[in-house]
Amino acid sequence: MVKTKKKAGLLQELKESIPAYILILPTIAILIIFLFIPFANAFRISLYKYKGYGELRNFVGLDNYVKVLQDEQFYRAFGNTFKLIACDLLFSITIGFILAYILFKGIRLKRFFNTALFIPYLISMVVIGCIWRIIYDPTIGPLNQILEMIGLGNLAQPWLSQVGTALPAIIVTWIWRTIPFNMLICYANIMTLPKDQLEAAEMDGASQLQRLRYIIIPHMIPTFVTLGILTVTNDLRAFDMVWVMTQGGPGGASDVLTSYVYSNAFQSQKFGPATAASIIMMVVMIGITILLQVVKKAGGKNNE
Amino acid sequence: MKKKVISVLLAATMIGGLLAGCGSGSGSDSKTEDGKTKIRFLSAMELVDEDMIEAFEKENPDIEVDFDYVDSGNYSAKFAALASSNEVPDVFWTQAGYYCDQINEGLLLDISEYLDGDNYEGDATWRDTYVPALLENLQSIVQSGCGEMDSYDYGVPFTMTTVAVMYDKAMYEKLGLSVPETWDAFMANCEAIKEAGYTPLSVQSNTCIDWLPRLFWDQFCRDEIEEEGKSFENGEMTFQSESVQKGLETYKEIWDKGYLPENFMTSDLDTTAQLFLQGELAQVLIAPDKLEYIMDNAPDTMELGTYVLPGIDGLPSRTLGGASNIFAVSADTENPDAAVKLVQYLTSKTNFTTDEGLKYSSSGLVNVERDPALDEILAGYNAAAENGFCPETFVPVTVSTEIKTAFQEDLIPNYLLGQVSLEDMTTELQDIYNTYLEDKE
Repeated sequence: MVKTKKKAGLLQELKESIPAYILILPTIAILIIFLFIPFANAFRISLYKYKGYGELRNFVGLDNYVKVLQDEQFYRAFGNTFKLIACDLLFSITIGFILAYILFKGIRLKRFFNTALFIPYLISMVVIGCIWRIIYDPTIGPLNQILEMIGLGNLAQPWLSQVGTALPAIIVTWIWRTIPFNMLICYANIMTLPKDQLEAAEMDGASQLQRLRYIIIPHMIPTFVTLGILTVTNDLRAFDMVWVMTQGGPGGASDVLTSYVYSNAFQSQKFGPATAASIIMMVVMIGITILLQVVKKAGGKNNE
Repeated sequence: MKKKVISVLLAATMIGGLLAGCGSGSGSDSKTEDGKTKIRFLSAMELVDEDMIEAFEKENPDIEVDFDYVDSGNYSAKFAALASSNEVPDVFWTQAGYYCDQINEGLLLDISEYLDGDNYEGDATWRDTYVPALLENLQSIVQSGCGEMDSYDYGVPFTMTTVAVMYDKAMYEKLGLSVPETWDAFMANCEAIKEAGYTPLSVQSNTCIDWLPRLFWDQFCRDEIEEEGKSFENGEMTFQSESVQKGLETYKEIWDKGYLPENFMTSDLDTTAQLFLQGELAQVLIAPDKLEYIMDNAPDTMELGTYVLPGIDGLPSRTLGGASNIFAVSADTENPDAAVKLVQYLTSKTNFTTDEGLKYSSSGLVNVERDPALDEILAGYNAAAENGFCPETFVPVTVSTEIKTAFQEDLIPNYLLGQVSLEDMTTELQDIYNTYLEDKE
């Protein structure tokens, strides 16, 4: 009797949910068409030797995965991606926070600076890449010219054409681009800080540094974690700026994971290893995202 | 119930809209609304522009061309994307490495019958309008890249590419230099230019980073390949052969001496041209189809001239190029006649004598002569062509996209920058070449 009741309840529930299922059908269709089918196709390609056109004929099994995992350039690109992420996390969030704090403290022409500092974020990555490519140019670029003007001509160099400087030059540009976003988010969050806490601390004689250390920074920690997650997921997809500035060169010195995949697929026409690398990259990205979510949750629980 | 009906209708509309968006649309129709034959054309040649296409459409009002330009650096990506979605354009530009891959995949139309028919103007056999050596050069690319075939006519050359050194005569005069006739004289000039504070030499862009070693190989390996009959295919020649290594070592020597610009690895055509026009770069190894910007923007103080790069081993200096720009027709085109008509027009006397942008190019056609006034400046290109062409696949670094890309994008930069040893570089090239041979079988 109880079983029949339960069954009837379930059926009733399903019946009531039909409109909801129908309404989410387009979303599921979009996911299937634009995510699952391409993914299945990509996985299939990763098992073949394939030039990007023609039939899939040459089945090689997991060889492409082995090839990628044995390729030094893959690890170099992997390392470069994490160097970019590490520098972005450290410098971009820190500088973004400092700028936000300065704006919070109040300066002359605050509105102007607020807008002006945000401008780099509004420019497209490709345009930024083109601009900075000119800035770094060893002969016509303003950076070397300025260095020479101020007597530091010995530091002038072909920034994007050397193994040792190509990646750092890209990282500097990348950080320059991401600071405004971090600054804006930090600024929005500092503004939510209860004023009475700061006033109470001030009345109790807390110095500016103490207020920053004991009130503002603890208040900002959840924001920093969120910015950290956004930075990691965004930087793992870094491509356009890197491609415009160096195409991963010279000789792969500034390759990141995405440019590694792109050049393998579309320049060398090695679609098999390229899709294998992109699937490995996807697994890594999912792993990192899960890890960050766990860390965030653990952080949240500790704060409670 | 009403709710359910509404939700079903909404969902159906959204899915319908979504699927409609995924359809191929009318873009691939071969006829326009007004009954014209529509063909799609993909080019990576800067010389082919909208004006040229308009001129063709004006002469052929029954054909409409859907023209798409992509720079040569992104051509491979664009073509692969189109081919993988069965959207290969009716007519497209291609180049040695891609050309053989495309033939092997059955993507190109055999145009031998058309070549034996009339040319665009209808006053000669189409095949006979090309400089014979140029067409042979193109056929040899197919033969070495695809093996024995019934036909080697899957495309036609667009312009006769030659490579020469462009220099500023005024700078030469200022430094007391003369046009070098031997390799030693060339190197002495480079040293003098460097001491005077200028960059001695560059190639037109980083996509041509392989030009110098290929020119050196044409000298160092010529006897072995052409006199002794050795070949890479049968293993008598390898990338570890002394002559091949010597070509690479010489390249490194030039880099180490500082004769090439610091941004050599990343400098594109515009950057190199600007460097030259600003007087910072003394000489640039450049093909005539890339001269337009320099010729049109050279300051009055500059006096341009060209000469053939002297042979490093004292042999007659042959030039790279020949049929390095190819136009081909898709094997799947629904309008082969219209597609071939466009290719005929592009490589016709009509086009080369009317299009302003082609004035610096060598047409590669027997019935077209260049403006004599330009011949003096561009004498180096004529001299380069007189010595003949270095076979495209002499040392097989352009035989497939994979080896070409690995050589240009990875191995040369890393070798010059000291990141990869000569031994590692040649071993890797040989490995890729061996894989290519296995795949070919």
